[in-house]
Amino acid sequence: MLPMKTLSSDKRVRRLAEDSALVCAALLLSFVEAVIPIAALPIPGFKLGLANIAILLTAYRCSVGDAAVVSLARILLTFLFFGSPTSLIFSLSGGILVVAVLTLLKLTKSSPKFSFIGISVLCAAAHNFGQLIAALALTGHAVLSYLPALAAASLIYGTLTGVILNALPDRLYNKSQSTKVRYENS
Amino acid sequence: MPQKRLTRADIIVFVGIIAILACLLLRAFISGGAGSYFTVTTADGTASYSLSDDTTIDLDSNGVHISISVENGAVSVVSSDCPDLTCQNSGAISSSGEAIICVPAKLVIEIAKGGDASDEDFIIG
Repeated sequence: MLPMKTLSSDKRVRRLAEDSALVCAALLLSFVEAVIPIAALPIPGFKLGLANIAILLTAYRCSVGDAAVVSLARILLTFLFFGSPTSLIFSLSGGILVVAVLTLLKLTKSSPKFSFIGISVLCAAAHNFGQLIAALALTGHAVLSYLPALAAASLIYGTLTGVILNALPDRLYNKSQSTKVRYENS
Repeated sequence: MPQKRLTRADIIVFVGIIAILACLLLRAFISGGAGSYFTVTTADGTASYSLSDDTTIDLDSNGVHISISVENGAVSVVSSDCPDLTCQNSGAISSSGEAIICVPAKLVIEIAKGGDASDEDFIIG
């Protein structure tokens, strides 16, 4: 039986490992989303936002700071793998607003008042709105005609993402596992 | 930590967004109506076209080749080189205020609000 001590640097390693796993999850979700044909989406011009599932999971398992880092890493990697400079600007502005909304929720401590559905809809709206602002800067005021579609897309896609998040098991948020290795039959 | 079931705050968010949606649609409906002409804004400039002439417009903007078709008083994007293809799936627009946008191509097709084609100077870019 080997005695194991929990080291203080263990926390940093753990954080690195968890954030990396969450970045992978977010990246995979982005990839799945990219494979869906554009014509199959009910509302043209707005993405499903599946990666938000991973970001929100990070925000409530770890911290908003972790969520910001995971979001940034995901955006950069997605851009490197299959993106154009315009998509980078769009994703960044969307991601910034999502982190802002999450920070606001944490600061006002109002997260317990919602379920993941409400929070997802808010994050989807924030993400889409961020993209709208980027489009506004790049192409001018004509994008404002997309606002109704934006509201509808945030509602529908946010609900989808939120339902999935609500269904995730509570164990995902449980971080109290000890890092000691358990041996059987020793 | 958020709750696991739908809460009252969730409903408030839903109702709020639906209310905003309703207001936006109302405004679009009121100021809408069939347009008479539309403008195409590319990286090079803006041009006006009439919605009553059935034509096909081919142009290159920001390196992307786009084909626009005007048919039966509505304009739509037939084909595009851009990586996104949202513009193609946007369908046809015909009411004033509606727009089709291709961000990689920096292209904006907008149905002009009211007025007449003769109000604008024709700048063919």
